[in-house]
Amino acid sequence: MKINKEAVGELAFAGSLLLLGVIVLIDTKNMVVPPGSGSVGPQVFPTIIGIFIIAVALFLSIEILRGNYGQPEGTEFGEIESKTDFKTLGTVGASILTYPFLIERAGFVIASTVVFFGVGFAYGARKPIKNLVIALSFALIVYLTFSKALSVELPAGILKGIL
Amino acid sequence: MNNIESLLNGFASALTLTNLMFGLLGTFLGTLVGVLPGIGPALAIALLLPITYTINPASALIMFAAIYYGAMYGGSTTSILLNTPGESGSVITALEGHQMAKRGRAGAALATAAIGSFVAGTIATGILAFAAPSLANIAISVTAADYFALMLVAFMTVGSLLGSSMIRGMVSLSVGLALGLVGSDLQSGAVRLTFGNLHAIDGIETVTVIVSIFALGEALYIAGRAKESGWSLIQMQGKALMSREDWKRSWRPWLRGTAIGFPLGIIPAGGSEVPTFLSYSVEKNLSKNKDEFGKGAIEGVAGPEAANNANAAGALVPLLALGLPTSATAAVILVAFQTYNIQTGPMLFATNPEVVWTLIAALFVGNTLLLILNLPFVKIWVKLLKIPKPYLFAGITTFALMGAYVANNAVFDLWIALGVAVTGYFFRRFGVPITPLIIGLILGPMAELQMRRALQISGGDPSALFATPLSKVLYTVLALVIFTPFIWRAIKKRSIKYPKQG
Repeated sequence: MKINKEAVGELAFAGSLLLLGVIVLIDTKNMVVPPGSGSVGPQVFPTIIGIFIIAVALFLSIEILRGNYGQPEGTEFGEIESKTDFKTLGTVGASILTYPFLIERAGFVIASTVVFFGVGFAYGARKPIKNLVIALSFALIVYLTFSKALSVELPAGILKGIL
Repeated sequence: MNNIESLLNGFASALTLTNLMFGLLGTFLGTLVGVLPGIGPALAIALLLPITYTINPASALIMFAAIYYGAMYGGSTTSILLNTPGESGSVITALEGHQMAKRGRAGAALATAAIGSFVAGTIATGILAFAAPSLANIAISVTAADYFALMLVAFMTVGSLLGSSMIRGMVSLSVGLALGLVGSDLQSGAVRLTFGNLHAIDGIETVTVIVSIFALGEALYIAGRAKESGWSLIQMQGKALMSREDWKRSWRPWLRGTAIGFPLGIIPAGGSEVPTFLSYSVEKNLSKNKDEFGKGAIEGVAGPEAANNANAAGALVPLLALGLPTSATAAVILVAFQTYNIQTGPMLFATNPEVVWTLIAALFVGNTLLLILNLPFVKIWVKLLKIPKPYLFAGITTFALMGAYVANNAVFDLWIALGVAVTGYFFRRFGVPITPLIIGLILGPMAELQMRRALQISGGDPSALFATPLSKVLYTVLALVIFTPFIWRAIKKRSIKYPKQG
């Protein structure tokens, strides 16, 4: 049996699933069980799930070793390539990653503008000024609709008082 | 109070000016997001959940009903004109409807899809109005052990029928079940899988998982793997109307589609893929114009579209009567109910009759609004498809992050969202379906509760789990679901070895 590059990726995926199962079992074993939990305590179900996950991971590995690889999901946006476009993926990922840092410090409007601009850029919006204007308008419209019209609380951040 | 009287009361509350406005808003938003490629009904409702945090339950549910049907209508429009099925239920519509559009019959295809969905939706909602309460009456006597068995059946069918391989469905389900464990156990207070994080004690927010696995996962996946290719949008000529001949060829498929779609929605048969394919093959076999199939036969759009809508209404029966979601969309609606602390299940019709009946009436109203709103304005919706891809994705991503954050106003949820987004990326990369994860996340804790209830009554004796007649039947069904694919595969292998003569 020859293990090719595709199988390595698949096996790594199956391996991480196996790891998840092991983590569930270890966590369940170390769980602090409050007294009076009855005959069927909080450990029974997680134990079953942990074993289930490990079994699934093993079956998946067997499938992979037999040469049954996953069919990458099709999308509405064109053909799926076999090579990953790390540049675009990285830009989208990095843009999304800024959001948890900015949302409460800088506020909703700024955080959303940054993400919108970054994702738009990654997906091919090459006119930065136009992109920025659209990003800012989108963030403002969403902010005003939700916080003013629907009274859903969104953090104003450093723009507090201006908005 | 009997059903008809309750339903009329439901109409009375659905038809108030405020609620009608929410219905209208829902049809608008639903069609909007349905037309936009990349957003299906489940994600649409999840993204719009924050809107409901401040409005009353009846109005919110009316809006969801409208969004639910609206997103499906929108989806069929995209399938026909763009050949991009947004979800598995629209694959057939894309196949046959797009061929019709190519031959200049886009108007007729859109009309038969819309009117067919209306007919199917109306009939199916009618049956729902009478089936769900009776089922709920029976369900009151269903024991904890039965519920547990029912959930196992749901896990198995959703896990094994979706996607290309059974084992990959199970992968998705198992991750969902693990996510469902996180947080403090409701019965004993024991803390699970939190790793000392205080935020995690409340568990993982379902809305956060849904928006991030669908929207953020998809955004990452397309960024990383999809090759840029332009859309070939077919320009629509004329109006969305059907000729006499079209009507004659459509009405039977509509009714047959409804008859196929509704029952398959009630049983957890794993979404709309099976009923639409089934309806398509039935129409193909019955049609006098067999050679037209594959080149744009109107029956091939009418039947599956009706089946898709009837199936969606059918999925509401187990949701309302048993509290059991069998599709991603039903799961999101369940979350919406939970936001209002409304427990779906057998007691729902007794505890919150006005809410349920308003919802059922709203389904009728929403369906009608859609027919009025969509057929004449289809050209306006089509213009939405001209939004440039970069801004479309930027908008969806930004909105999804907001949805992930605003459920609890917690940055912790955003970290969960990022983790789930990465999971969603790898699921798509390795052909693992998404829906089983959501079903596992939502049904997992419910299954645990029922299992422990059943076992606590018996003092821990596991035989209590299959003591009742219903549970015995369900475990038989479960065995069939597990082993049928193997038998099916064996038959397939044999038929390949010995091809039929003639």
